Amino acid sequence: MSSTDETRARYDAMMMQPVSGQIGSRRRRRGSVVALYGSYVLACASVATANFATRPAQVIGLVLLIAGVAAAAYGVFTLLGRTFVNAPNIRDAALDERQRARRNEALVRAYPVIGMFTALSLLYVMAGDAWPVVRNYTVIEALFWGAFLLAISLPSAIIAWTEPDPLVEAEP
Amino acid sequence: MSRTTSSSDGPEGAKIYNRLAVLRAERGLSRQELADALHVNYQTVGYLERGEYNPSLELAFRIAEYVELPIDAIFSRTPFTPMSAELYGSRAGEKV
Repeated sequence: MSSTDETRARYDAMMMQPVSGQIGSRRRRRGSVVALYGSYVLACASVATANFATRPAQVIGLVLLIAGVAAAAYGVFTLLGRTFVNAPNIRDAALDERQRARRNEALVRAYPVIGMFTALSLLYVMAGDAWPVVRNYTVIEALFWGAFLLAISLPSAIIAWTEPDPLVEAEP
Repeated sequence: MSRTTSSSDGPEGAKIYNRLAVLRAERGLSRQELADALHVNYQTVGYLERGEYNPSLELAFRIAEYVELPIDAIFSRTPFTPMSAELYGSRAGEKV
């Protein structure tokens, strides 16, 4: 067996280990969801502010950007780790049947939202100058990143938001 | 909180009653110990005990094999009679 095969086998074995049931309190998880999507709003506000050519506006834009990056890092670190909350991005073998059922429910709830956001974004791009709204490359880029963020995180965010507080593990 | 359904649910998500909590207590097992034996997360044992999750047929059989009881002694589509009532008659059941 080559070293590449061994590395792959070790990686596969690691990915199939059962995920942690330690998912923290619902309040903390909801805070992570707010931080993650708040970071997107902050980043959009940062770009919008920085477009003004004045020095104060650029400073405010930079502060918003730093806050957005910090919020995004916290959200990603707490939501998209190797716990049940991130079940949509974890292999079947690492989840039990209830966790797989919860993941499937979250995916079913997330798909229409992601689809609707993407469809509205495409409509916006295709509408040309017909709509009396701001339409430039920055807005299109923001919509693209929004769709990307929703696609990678919304199912996990739904689990994080809806899963109740965990039971005490050692309870007899 | 909405109940987590499973493939074993009917079209209306019919509730399946079970005696898992009683059986686990009788055997002096923690949720973690039972979960390890059944190869599920300990949270799932809690959901099963509270009737918030209906197990698949495969998991139901694993539970039955582990506690060494027939499957219909553990799961039912109708609420179970309290064990005290079954042992000592209906008058005891009324008091429970």
